[in-house]
Amino acid sequence: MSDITIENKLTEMFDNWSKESVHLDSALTQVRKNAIKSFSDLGIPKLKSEAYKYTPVQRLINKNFDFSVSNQAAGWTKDACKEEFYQDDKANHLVFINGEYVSDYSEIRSTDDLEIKTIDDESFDQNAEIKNLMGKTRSIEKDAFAALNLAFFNNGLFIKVNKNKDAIDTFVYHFVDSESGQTINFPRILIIGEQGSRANIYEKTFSKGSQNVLALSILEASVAANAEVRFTKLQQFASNEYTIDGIYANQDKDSRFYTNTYSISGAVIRNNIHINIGGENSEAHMNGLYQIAGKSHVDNNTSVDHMVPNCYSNELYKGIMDENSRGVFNGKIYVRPDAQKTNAFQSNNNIVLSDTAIVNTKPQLEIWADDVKCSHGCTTGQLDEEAIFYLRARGIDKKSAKALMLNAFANETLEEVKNEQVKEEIEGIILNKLHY
Amino acid sequence: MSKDDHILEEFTSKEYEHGWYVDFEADEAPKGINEEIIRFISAKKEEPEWLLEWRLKAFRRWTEMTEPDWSNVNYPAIDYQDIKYYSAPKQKEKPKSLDEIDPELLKTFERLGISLNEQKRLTGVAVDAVIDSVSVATTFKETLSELGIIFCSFSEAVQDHPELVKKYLGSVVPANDNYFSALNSAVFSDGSFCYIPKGVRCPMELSTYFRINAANTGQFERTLIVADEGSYVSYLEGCTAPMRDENQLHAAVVEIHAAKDAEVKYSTVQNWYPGNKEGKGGIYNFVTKRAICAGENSKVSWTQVETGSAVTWKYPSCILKGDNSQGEFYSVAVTNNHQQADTGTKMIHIGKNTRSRIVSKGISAGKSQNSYRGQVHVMKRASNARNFSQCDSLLMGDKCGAHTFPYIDVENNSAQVEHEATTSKIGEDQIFYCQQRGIDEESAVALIVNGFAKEVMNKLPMEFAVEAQKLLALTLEGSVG
Repeated sequence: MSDITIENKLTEMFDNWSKESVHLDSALTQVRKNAIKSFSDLGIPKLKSEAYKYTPVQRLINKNFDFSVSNQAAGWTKDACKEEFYQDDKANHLVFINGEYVSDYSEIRSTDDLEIKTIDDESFDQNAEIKNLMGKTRSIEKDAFAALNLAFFNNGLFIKVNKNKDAIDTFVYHFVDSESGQTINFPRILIIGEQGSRANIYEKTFSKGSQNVLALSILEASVAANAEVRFTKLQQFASNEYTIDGIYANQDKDSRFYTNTYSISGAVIRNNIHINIGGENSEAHMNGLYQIAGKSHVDNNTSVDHMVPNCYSNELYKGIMDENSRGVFNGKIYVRPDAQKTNAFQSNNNIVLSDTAIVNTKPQLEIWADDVKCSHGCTTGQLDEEAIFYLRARGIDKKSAKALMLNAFANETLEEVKNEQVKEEIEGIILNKLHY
Repeated sequence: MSKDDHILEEFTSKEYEHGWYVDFEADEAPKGINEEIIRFISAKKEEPEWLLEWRLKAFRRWTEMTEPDWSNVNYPAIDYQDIKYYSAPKQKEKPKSLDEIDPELLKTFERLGISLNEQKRLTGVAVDAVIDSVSVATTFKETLSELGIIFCSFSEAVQDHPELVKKYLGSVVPANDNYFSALNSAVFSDGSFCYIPKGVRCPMELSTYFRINAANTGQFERTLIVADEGSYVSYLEGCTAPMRDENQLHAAVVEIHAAKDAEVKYSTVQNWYPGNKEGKGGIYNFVTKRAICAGENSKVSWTQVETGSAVTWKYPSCILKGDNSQGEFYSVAVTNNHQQADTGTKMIHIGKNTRSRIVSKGISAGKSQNSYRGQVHVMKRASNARNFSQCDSLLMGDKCGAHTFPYIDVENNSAQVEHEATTSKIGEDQIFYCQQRGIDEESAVALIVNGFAKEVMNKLPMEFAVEAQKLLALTLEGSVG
């Protein structure tokens, strides 16, 4: 092992980039410089770091990436991308290639209820909303990966849902190509749900190439009063893909924010979800399923910060672990001293199918107010033998009986997915994995 | 109404009833910790060479360690050089019976409500009384020794049963296990030792009573319980300390070894001085308690009622090594005023068909913070392991906090692990229901709290249950407004 640390390699990469950049003195470059500074102060979380206790990110990155990064994505032509779109000509289809938003490849159908822009030096300078809200949901002084993304992202995506508009569905596709070498991607999305608006956003990834891929993605959402944002993410990666994903939301009063995360495959998936509920009468919902096999490692780290009274949060995560996989769940409910009348619920259920799979879970409550109702429940176990027996007594073979039960177990997490096409697709994937 | 007010008045002014201290002539070591002090303690105890070596090794290891800071409690840094590591009431010779003990000492225990004489006659509980650093009296020794049970102070055990001590000391909590256990291993002064031979069912409850008396001292005692094959023992531990403005450190180690088919029940009512209403003074209770179910079908059960201490930081744990072994943890932790508690348990399932059960009830009032932190770890070969955990928190007042940090690690697919936790305050409808039936608010709260904690209280031996219930009421008096 060389003694050059990942931190050094990355800062060096940044220095080289900033030298050759044409926008040497742009406002965004300044923001990036601050970010890389916080990153080098923080460093990649060590094994001792409580938040990354079960996911040794430093070792993973060191072992699998040499930072001779290529971001060429010749494999994804406009037509090739288009092939993969959902069949929906009333929706927006937005394309990211190796972590960069490509407006040319995207199909934007609605300009009335949605405003879609590329985040670059120019738009950062001119658009006050991007300038004021980007990077504000998560402190870069606390989160090394948020800082890293802010420093390196190129052509981010900005979506604004206009006031009182019920926007059409928006699909975001990530196309990844690692044919010509290892790639590190930094996709970044900023969503603003204006007052009284509604948005449904779906995210999905396609990959080509056999070299290792590291995706450090960030989604920020700013949900205004009485607005609703629903966000669904399908994580079906190849076994050479490593993902550290962050979803950060700030909610204003009377707002609703939903996340649905389906982690199906990939080498390592780490999901960080952090929601700040900053306005009264708001709701936050987090649903997730990790149904993994092989050597996949999925780590879901979620936290809800109840800053004000009279809010509601609900979290449901389910895991099915097979073969040598490992599922990690850490959910935190934080209720501040003044956040009275908070209702917060959390539930995590795991089924372990093989002898070699591992589950680590830590549902955590930190409550500083007294007039609250908070609970969490967490189970790890197997399928109910009696239920299986019941089915088999009715002529259903063991394999199908098990699949039926697991399917029912997993499907509960799909309730908040509104788009039928997406829902069917995920259901199909779940079933397929059960070898039904 | 006036009667209620009177009772209320009495309770609220009655801060901490064990807050007095007695001036004994004490034998003390100078403040500070270094190898000299450890040699001094060891020499005082006339310890064999191997034990001194063991202490020194622990001390050297301790100097290399840093104080852990991951707990959810805040306290000013402890100056380890400002503590006296040895303090003992002066006694000329080892007393052979209670009659020879300094009457002042006996009176001390009488004031605590544990008259050693009376206890002996009436309740039939064998008591080992520890003041500051040393054990002053052990009752019922003869009766017990007829059955082959060894129940004595740790120093006596070192002299009389070195082979047992040598075999089991540090076998469950190694000297270098953590910062405080290393400190304890280096300077521990006394404690209780208990050995139950094969197939013996201990006919009475064994009890240790810990009392900190001297100022500026730390209490570092060590309890070692060994239950041999097929034996049974129920062990009680109680503690109090005087009211003083400075904080005092209590860093004890409790080790339990349960062999095949053995059962050990360990109950604690912890009532160290919690500090005054402004959070001044009080005991830091940083204790390492761990049991190993080494043999098949063995069982260890921890029951604790935590009402005292300024800061409590402890996790009585079970290592379930033997197949079919069982671990239990029942806890009520009550914090009021500025108290902080970070407590819970660890259940490490190693053997097949091992079972564990965790019931933890936290009650926070005033400006206190109460955390449950626990781990359930099912290792790869622990097939059919079963765990159920329940942590409930009750909040009284809007300045307190309740936190839960459960870690659940499962590496075996036939294991079943359940965890549930709730946090809530006493419902207005519950109070209303009681008031409607003529029960005033204060009593209603007491009633509800008692009901909340009942599941754990039921697990306490009779003698303790009464005391614990009184304590519970006392700790929470005046917290409803």
